[in-house]
Amino acid sequence: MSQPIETVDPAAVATVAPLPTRRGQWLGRLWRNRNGRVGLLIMGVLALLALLAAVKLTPYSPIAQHPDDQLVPPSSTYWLGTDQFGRDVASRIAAGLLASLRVAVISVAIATVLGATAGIVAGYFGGWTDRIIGRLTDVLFAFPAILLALAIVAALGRGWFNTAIAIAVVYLPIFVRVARGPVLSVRSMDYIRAGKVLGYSPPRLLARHVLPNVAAPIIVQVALALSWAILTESGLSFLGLGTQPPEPSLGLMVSDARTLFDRAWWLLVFPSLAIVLAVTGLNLLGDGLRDVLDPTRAAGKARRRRRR
Amino acid sequence: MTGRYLLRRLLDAVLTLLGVALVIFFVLRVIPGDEITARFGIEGGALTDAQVESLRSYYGLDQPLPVQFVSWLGSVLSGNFGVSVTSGNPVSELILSALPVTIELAVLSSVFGTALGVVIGVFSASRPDSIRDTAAQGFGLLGLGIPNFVLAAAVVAVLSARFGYFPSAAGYAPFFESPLINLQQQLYPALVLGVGLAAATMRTTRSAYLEEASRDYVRSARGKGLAPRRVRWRHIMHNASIPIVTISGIQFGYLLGGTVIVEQIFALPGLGRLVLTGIEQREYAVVQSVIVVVAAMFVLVNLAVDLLYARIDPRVSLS
Repeated sequence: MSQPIETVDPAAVATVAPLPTRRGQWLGRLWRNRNGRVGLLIMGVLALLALLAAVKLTPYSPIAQHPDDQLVPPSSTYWLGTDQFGRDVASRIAAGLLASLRVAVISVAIATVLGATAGIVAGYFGGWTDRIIGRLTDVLFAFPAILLALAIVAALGRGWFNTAIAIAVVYLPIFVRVARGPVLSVRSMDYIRAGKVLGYSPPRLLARHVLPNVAAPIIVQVALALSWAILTESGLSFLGLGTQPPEPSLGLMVSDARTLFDRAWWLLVFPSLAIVLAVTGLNLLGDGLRDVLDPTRAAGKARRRRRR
Repeated sequence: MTGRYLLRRLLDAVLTLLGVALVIFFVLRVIPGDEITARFGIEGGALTDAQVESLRSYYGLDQPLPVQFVSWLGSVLSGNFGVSVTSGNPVSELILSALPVTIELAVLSSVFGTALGVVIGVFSASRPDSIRDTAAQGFGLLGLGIPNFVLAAAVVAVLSARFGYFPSAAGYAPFFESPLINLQQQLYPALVLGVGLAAATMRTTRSAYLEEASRDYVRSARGKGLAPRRVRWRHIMHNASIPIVTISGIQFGYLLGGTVIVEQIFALPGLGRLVLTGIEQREYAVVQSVIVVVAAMFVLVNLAVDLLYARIDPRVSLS
């Protein structure tokens, strides 16, 4: 939650870049992109770990305490060691990843659906609708992101679901802006006018004809939003406002490990590593998607190559 | 028309801030409990109804919400942010003592982060796809991927285990009383925050530099035999500075509110800590005032960055 929110510049990204039409095609292109491939691999492994925690296949229960095995260093019995209650760190990291990913996916899903809808509606209809939505967006943008999240969690109470809502509210205006920009140029396209002449209803036009043509920047933003959501979730948990103990959470593990560092370095190192990997994996995925979906960037690269 | 443009932007900013005040006021009223339960805790249950009533009217809680909002806004505009119930100090005093701490931290980490980021960015972009470019990009990726609270926790853990350093808010030395001790206390948090900023700045610098380096005027400059260093800084970086100023401005504004956890970990008595304790003690007055003050600074910084564009780039017209 340290880093400022990274956003796609809607003007730079593909104003008129429809998603590659054939399904699976852009996934293939993502795989051929170096950033995209590394991002996919990291997130694949982390998702698998979280899945193991979800179906309770971790070596130990993440909350089971082994009083005889407190602060055991990494060994063949406990791969990543145990904490001050004798809980298995590896199992807790898997469960913590699950908790983080759950909050990230839920919050970003809420922010994407509401934000993109509002942005598309504002851009397509313009006029008063646009002005009202724009004003609300400006207000949300004026809040320092983390303070807004803190205030919302304070108001709703601690816990993972309220954290998800707070993150969604903070990210909402970004999706509004990312979706609205490209709609402005798409709405005057011939195929939209043709659709109007054919008598398509506005919802049908927006969902079937506008949305697919403005989806590229939104998809890139989803990856970046997920990364920011994981940062924020672990940060709020670190402060004790997010996921509540004894539920495992990466942020809380880092917080608890601080005073034990001289006796048990593994308590600080491994959960930190898990957070860094998750955030970096999603950032790489975002970079890869931007390379794949943004023709202006690809053009810049080609130009450079020709020059050399 | 610069004057009219400025006026319109200022009006916009005022409207936005009004919205901010409105949102934060009502969000905080959702919190269960009020100043009275926060003040008396469980003993509040022993108060008679009449006592509760008189307390409510003392704090103005018996008024309808819109009336409370208007009277709060009115007093804020006249510089009266209310009184902190737990400590008895005026909130404006609390903010005034915390503000310099946060601003100093934000300035120090911005300076550090921007300088480091620009240098690494130019270093990396001046020879694309080389080893040093790859290393610099690795730094950028890592800097963005390490949350500042993880870095801060690690720094404090190592410092306290090896050197017996324990941050404490009680011993905070203001800059004008003992500048040396103050800089020592601000150094580590500023470095921690600076790393993340440097990563973002480096990435922006790199792509802006590459964008400009491929333009014709750069080829002309090289062709007429200018020294590479002169081409690099006077020609390329001059034109690449606009996105860099943008990202630095955004980051500075962001830092004013984004230092919360780092202040908490390093025990710096800044705005972030003020908000966190305010949330814990359910002090509406403190939390809402700090957020409104930070949002106001945020909006002003953004406005200042927009105005800066016109100074850097004469092509930008303010209209």
